[in-house]
Amino acid sequence: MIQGQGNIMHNAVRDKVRLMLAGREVVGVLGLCGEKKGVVPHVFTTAEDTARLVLEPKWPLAKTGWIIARAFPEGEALGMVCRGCDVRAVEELVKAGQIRPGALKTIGVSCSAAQAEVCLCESPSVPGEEPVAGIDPMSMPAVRSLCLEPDRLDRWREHFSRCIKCYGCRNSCPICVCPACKLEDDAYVTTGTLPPDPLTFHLIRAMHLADRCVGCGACQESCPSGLPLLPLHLAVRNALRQREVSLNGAGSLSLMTAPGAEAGTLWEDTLGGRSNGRRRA
Amino acid sequence: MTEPASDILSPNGCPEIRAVVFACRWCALVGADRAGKERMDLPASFRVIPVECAAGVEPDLVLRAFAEGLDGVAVMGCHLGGCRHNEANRSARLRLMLLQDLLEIIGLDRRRLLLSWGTAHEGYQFAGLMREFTAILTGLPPVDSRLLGPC
Amino acid sequence: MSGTPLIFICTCYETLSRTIPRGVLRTGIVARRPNAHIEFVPSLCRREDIDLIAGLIKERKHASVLLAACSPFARGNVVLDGLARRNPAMQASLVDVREGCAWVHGGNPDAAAAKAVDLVCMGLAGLRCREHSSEFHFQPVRRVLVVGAGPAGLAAAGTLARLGIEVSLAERMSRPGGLLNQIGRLFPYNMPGREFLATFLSEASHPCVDLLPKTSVTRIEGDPGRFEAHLSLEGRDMTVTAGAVILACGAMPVLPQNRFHSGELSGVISQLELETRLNKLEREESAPAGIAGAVFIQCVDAREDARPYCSTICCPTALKNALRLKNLNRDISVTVLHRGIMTPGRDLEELYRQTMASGVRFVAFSPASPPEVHGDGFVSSVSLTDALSARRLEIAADLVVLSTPLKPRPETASLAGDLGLRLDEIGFACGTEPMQPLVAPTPGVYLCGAVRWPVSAQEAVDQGRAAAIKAAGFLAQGALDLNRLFLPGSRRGPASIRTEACSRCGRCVSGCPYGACRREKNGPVTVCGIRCRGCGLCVAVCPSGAVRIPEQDSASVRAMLREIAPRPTALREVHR
Repeated sequence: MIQGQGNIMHNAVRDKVRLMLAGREVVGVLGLCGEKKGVVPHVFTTAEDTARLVLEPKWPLAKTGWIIARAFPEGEALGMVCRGCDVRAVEELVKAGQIRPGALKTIGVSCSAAQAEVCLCESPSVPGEEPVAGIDPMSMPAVRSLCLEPDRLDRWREHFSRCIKCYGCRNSCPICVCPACKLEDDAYVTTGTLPPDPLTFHLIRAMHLADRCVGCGACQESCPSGLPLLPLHLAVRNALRQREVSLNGAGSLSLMTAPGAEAGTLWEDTLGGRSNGRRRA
Repeated sequence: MTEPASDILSPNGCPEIRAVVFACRWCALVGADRAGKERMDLPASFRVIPVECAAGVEPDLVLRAFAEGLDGVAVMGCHLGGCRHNEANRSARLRLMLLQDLLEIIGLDRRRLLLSWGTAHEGYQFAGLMREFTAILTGLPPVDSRLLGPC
Repeated sequence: MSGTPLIFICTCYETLSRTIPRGVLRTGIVARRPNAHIEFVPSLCRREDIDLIAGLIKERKHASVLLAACSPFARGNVVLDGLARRNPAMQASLVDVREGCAWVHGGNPDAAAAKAVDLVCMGLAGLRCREHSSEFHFQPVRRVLVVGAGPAGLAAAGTLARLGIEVSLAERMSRPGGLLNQIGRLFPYNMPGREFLATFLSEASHPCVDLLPKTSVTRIEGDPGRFEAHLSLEGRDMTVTAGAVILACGAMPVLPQNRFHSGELSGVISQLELETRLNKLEREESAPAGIAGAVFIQCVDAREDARPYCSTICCPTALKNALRLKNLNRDISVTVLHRGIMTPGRDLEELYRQTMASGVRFVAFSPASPPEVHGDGFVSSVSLTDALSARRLEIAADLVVLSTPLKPRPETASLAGDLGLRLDEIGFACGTEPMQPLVAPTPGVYLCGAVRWPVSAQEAVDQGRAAAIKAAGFLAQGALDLNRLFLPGSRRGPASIRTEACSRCGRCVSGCPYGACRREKNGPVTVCGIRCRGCGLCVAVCPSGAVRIPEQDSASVRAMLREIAPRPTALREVHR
């Protein structure tokens, strides 16, 4: 992105924040604050303060915004300067009844094409802004080697063996907000073992997120062991898309009928085979 | 130290295959019953857990079953359009096919999760599925020695 | 009460113990459950056996019992049910060691024995976590709302009234009778429609029946046992509270539109129009004037791509009316052009024979080459290719009668939606699989008559009576719902939710096949006890494990898995 353009966007966003604060729509605006020591999340409450607002780096803020705003009483709201994935995450939180509609007012900022490559992102731009080309995660060699190559099980095994069960992925995920989490339940994930059994710890989470994941990458960013969690969850989204299920749609995996899930004949689906003719390559 | 997948070996020394079958009591369980009435000869690799509806089979428990070392999980429900619970099997099918996809993503054979929608109602159908399932599982390596343990 | 279950293993008069010796079984079970109380019995399924077991349980104060016996479909369910009736507080589980084990692994007795031990231990593990769902008290309102006062609705109302049940019979037209009002004679034996209708009208004039003409049902809310129906009577709104609802709002005829020049040529009319004319002629005892030849064309706008179904009653109707025409004037030549005459059953077959005997001709055509109607201002002839002889025929006609099907009424869709009734691709309302055509998935909701498929008046009446009996049964049941066909021993549900663990994500709400899981605005999810059928879908989709079906919840399934998994606890040992 050209420096000049960045400044224009920066100023435009800053103006929006000031407008939001001036209009008393929100108690504050969550965003990134540039300080001497670095960049930190910060709730801006005054116009003067917004001078310190920065838009880089990409930093998933939806979860933080939820933690702050979820307890707000009726009528109070928190603003949030964030990327497109955070905007989608807030929509998911509203759908899942985890936050009142309007309690988190987002000011979306588009990501660059370069950022999209890092995040394996299909839709880096926010609605209302100029479209930015995204990428198809399944076309990236790193993702393909993990999700399509024949020896991928060994690679996954090597990655999973480094998991230290810090729960960073779950804690940072804006979709993971359940008060009672199966990943802490010995009945599902055996406690007291390291590394945790990936079949339960990581795959249970992947199933729960399946159609609600917004691809923000917070999980992967927060992982101290560098587990490739983004490819895992994006691959699941891709699988759902191939089965013609609407992602981040009105319903969820519990929908009784999803388009494309029609049966061909009585004799289908045995032995986990690919007898569902609707499946695209 | 890698563990053998199963402590229980059959007389010829091969690890015995262990699979769990979630059988819907409205059709697949009937098939199992009929296979019994017809005295069909089946491999003793599976244990049946009757369920009210295939839609009640938790994917998280299926994952837990694999984590505990079971070689295969079968979920058998009614044919689409014939679910006693108002099409609940459609959503079950979607969930469980996604679970098959997920297993495949990380490199496990998706055939470890067998799905049958109305194809296990007769004795010979249930028998055929169990025999084929056992044959497939016999050809696969044990689950956990590949996924766990130090590298 | 003692916590350890009593284990009864049936040897089926020693036949089972031939494959799986008692000693092996006992040793195997005790090795894994040192405190097991095991009793071998020759049979479990006679009444004396069930009495004995129920008695033993009470005497030794056990809270739960495990039965290892034959398959539930053999005698297993009978035993479970019998025990549950004698001792409802007790927990009982059945494992199938006969059809499911001894009879399919007879060639490998060691494996059969190991599996039987596994099955028993699985049963014990499941039993430990098994609980009874809480009873919910169900006091239905003893009134049934019948929507539609055609023959089906009238018959339903009459039957309910005779049983002393209050009925609100809502009819959107100004008088009851539905399509029957337009039918002068009913097949198969030409009974006057008015007579037939009069019978049911008098039934429905019973004091228990509140007939509401000019009243349409706009919305139905509430739950089984207490449905709130919003009715509209000439613009005035009113509400009726009913314990059950019977949908009998019928179907409507398809108009021929411009098929076969019906809008353009005089003399091309619909079957219903013919009915009206015949009614008039018969009343006046006069003959049809100026008609020498009549041609009936069947399957108009039916059994084709746009409307791919057979409407069942058009053939008998055409035959009946052809006969009437012949009776009025024997000299009129009547030809029926058809794609197969559908007259199943003794009476209708007889009608077909009678019609043929009266001189009516039948010519088959194939859908690929339908008949052509000719005329100029007035219809003059019909030409077609005879499907049997492949010959081209030209038939002189002053009257062409088009038989069209019945189609669903547009109002059906919204009421069906309110009541949780599914519609098929055509728009007719569906019952419940398997084999419960008059019963909706929602308890307390029934359907009868042409709303579910085109039917004759007689069949509509039969269905109306059947639906009424089912509704009456539902109201009488109290806590048990007839719809569920639950034996007490195999009951599941309703689901229960731990509010503190519920994250209110709504997955169960969108998934529940019965609309039993609801999320109040900003509130927790609740389960409507009467709607829940215990399918368990909510359990499968809940990310927090907050919802459970007490009779078979995740804990029991998990415990069963541990019994058969190769190394359930080895994981801990390896990594600690």
